[in-house]
Amino acid sequence: MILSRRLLLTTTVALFVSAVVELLFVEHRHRLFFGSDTTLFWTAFGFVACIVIVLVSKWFGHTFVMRHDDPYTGEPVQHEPSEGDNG
Amino acid sequence: MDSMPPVVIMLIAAALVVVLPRALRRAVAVAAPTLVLAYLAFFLEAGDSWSFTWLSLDLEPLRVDRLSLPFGYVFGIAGALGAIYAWHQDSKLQQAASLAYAGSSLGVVFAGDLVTLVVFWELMAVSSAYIVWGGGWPSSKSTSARYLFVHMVGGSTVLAGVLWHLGTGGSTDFTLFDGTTAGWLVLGGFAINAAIPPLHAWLADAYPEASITGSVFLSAFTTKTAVYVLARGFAGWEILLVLGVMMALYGVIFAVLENDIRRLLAYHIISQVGYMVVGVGIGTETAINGAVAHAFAHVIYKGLLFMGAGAAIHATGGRRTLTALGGIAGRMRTVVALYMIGALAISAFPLFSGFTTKSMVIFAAEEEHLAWAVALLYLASVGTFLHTGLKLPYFTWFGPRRDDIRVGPVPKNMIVAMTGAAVLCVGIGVYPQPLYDILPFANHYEAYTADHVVTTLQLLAFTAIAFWLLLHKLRGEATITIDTDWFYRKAGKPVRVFIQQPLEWPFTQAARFATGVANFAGRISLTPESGWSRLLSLGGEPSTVISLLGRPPLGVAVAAMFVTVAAIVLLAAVFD
Repeated sequence: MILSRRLLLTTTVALFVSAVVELLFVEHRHRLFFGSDTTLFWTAFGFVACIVIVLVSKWFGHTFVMRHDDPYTGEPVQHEPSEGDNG
Repeated sequence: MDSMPPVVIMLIAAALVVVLPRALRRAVAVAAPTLVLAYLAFFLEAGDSWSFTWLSLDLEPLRVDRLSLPFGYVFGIAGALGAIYAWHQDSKLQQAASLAYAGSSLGVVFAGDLVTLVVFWELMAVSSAYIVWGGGWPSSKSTSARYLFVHMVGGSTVLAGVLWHLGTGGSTDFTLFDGTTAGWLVLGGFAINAAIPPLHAWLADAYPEASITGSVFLSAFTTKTAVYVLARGFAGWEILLVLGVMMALYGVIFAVLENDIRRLLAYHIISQVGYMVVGVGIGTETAINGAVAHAFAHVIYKGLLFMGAGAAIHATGGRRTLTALGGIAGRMRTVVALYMIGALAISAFPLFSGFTTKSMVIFAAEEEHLAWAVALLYLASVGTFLHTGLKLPYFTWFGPRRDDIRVGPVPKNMIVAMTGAAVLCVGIGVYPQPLYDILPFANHYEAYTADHVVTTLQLLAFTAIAFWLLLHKLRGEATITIDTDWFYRKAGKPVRVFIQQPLEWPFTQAARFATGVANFAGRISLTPESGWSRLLSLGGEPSTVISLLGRPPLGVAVAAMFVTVAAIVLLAAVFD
């Protein structure tokens, strides 16, 4: 299951700690754009940005630029490592 | 007062390693950049120069100021750490090329005039191409040829711009360019080395094909030299702000798709250099300070990341992809710990170097009320932590234990170099003041505010949580990602047949002749390991050096210059 209990618990604790730390230590949040000074804004930003980056990049890659065959030699991409003199 | 340019030390060292015995070679490779560092720190200061007139050209091979000095320091550090990391390696070609490469980067950084700049710019391209050439992977040599082709096109573009500039009454002094044709040509050439998309593909193409020690050197110099010349010649050009933000995101997107660990890191060079290009594009004092500070920190943590990835590849006997690695953290704990210090530094985690430098660029954008740029740079920061700090280490070292992977020992010298880099990453993060003190302008930025620390921790913590959620989607895929190099790789064959090979012919013949002479010289000398035969050998056989110099790379270089000059003449004919 993707939404494991540990993940949910960690998220809840992280949110709680974030809120407490922010309210205790940050007197005045810098307002960069509309909403950016809201409490816990940057937690949401980090979470949503990460998901957007992964989903958009994967969609872009699978649709346009990722190839299972080497586009320059025509051979399938090897799963095993190729040995090299890597000294 | 006339002083000696630091490049001289490096070039003498590069020549020495060709003739010295093995034990001394290593010592010279470490000593030369260390000596440069000491020379810069104790003998040179802002205002020093060396200039003369040659063929009615005003040349200034040495100009020391507060913009060039920080780059000089960090190139010295990178050269020394890279040489320690490569201590166990015994390749004259790699050692000589690395020294010449680091040296020519110093030559560019301390060049006060455009002619000197072009000379060292070209030397940097050729020496770094030899580093890729000696990579030892099946595709290293063909990649090196492509790499050299691209950089010769770049170098020729810079040369064309400089000639245009001089021809239209410009002086040789290397200073801010204006928006003339000459300026745009030079910018185009610089943009290739800065890896600004779509001119960036050489970087991700070539760096993973170098040896593990070679890629540590490559990650340090070319792009950061480009940041320096952009800061010197194009500060405040708004187009660089837009391109920089695009770079920061482009690198992140392609890093998601990448399976090769060093190619993933290479895409993150593009992303990180994006921040520096943004700083140059904004052009204010804080922004230039930010670009320089971030370049300084970046050279060190990126070197550390490449060292860590290289150690994994070395220990596993050449496994270099996420799909081929994993589950070996318990068997290389020190490497993982040191790599993670680099990863936290690039991710701008508080107490690590990125936190005190990257944020300076973002702060400069805030000062100029560029909210869109700030938001997109934070987005790119999330991507950086996601890949370099979470995805790469997780799939390279962690995950279910894999007993099918044999993990060999990592040479001590690698650990020593990584420790040195890690100490600097933490040092700059904890106490950035010495770095701030050497920046071009007086600093008024304060990294450690409660707001900044809390914002960063929240951002990174929830990136990690999203990573955890999406773990199944981030596994490496055994695919090849096509990038803009597709265009010239597909066009490679006609270029090879109709331009490169005919141009190569005289060199091939000359090489054949020279090989004969070298072999003859080797036979007539009293012992095979003395005199000419030794001087001419880089890797064993007397003829090696000549055949290396005479065959494909030179033909590629000439072909590249030919193509570029033809294109520029054509452009000039059409537009003027």
